[in-house]
Amino acid sequence: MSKQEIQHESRSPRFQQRKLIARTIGDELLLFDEETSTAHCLNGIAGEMWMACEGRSSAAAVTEFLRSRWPDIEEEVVWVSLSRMAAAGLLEEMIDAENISAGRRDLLRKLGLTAAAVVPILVTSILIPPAAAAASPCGGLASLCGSGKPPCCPGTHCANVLGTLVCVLNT
Amino acid sequence: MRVGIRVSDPLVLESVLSRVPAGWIRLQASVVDRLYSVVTPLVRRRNVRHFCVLYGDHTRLCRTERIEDILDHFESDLDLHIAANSQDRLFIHAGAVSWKAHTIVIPGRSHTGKTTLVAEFLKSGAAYYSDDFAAVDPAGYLHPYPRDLSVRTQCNGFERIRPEEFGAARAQPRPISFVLLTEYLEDGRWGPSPVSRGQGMLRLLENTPSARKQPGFALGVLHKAVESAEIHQGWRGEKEQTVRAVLNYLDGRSLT
Repeated sequence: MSKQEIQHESRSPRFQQRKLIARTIGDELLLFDEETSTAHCLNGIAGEMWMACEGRSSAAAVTEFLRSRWPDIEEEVVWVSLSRMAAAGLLEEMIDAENISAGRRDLLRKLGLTAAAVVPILVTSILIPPAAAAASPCGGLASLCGSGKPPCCPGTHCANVLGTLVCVLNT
Repeated sequence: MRVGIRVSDPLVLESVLSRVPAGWIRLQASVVDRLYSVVTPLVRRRNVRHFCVLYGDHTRLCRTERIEDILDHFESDLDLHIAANSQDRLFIHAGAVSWKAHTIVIPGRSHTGKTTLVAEFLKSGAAYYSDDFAAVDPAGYLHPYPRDLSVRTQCNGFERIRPEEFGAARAQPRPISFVLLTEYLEDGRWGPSPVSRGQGMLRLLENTPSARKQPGFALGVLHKAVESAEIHQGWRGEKEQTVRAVLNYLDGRSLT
């Protein structure tokens, strides 16, 4: 590793798994967050990424790990995916804002638009409704809502997504 | 699970007990997990409205002039309480039937059309597990949790129908073989697609009242339950078409 690479590696943000209940279902990984009562289903590559963050891992280290199965995967794409998982509450991101150069921010912005198309990373999340919600008809995440449909469950609200009214997570 | 029931009129007790799930035993316990109180008018006066009231612990659950409404509410609340707190079974909000060697589970909250489909399956000769809550043991086996079916009438009311009226037999404990994720869509056409086990588990988890309280247990049991299950998702139109397609598929033909 060159001096420049070592410097880059030491300044990179680190990602670490949050304490979630994890269960492998075939190729997929199911995660349950007890704090937010949210469940997530990660497809094969997303699950591997999450598993690779057992310790404090940089995007470079995770990329290296993934290349045994996905030789063409790019570090920047991994980095964006890990950042997104961190934003979804699956990973903790340890970051020093001063170390992120403007160029890297631009890259993140650009890749943010294309990463999903480059690598088929899929994370599906649902909010588990309280037990009492089972008694009353309420629309879960992504359920149709609006006129003639049940109201959205607690923690979600009705929003227009691409012309269709569906229940989405409160932000 | 210990449930206490007290009534102001002893004559009402038998009706209340008839709504407790089969297999209950009488205990002499001074401490219970949940206490239901049914207060009914003992004296009736002319020109006075007489209300029956149901309490769950200290909370008033229902106040109505019809004792049948009280009993329906009691049954529904008790089922939910059992589903949310059971330690040895995982309850999924789902209708469930068996067809030959297959078990079919249809998860969904109240009024999403589960009962309509269950009733149609029973009419077609399926055996009955449950209408509202599917009970799964830690080994992933589905057990009967038989309740009368609450079938919606044309006037938006409900009619209770005993499963025997459809000629349905009680199904035997078996692993889940087919999960149907579907909701009625007006003018919808039946065109399901297979869903991965992980995605299917997510949907089952969403319909598991105890998932928040005991997620580890819920994930473990659901994992076992879907281990060998096929999961299909899609909108449905008319119930007859959907049920016919599913039964044909299980008999070895196409699902559409």
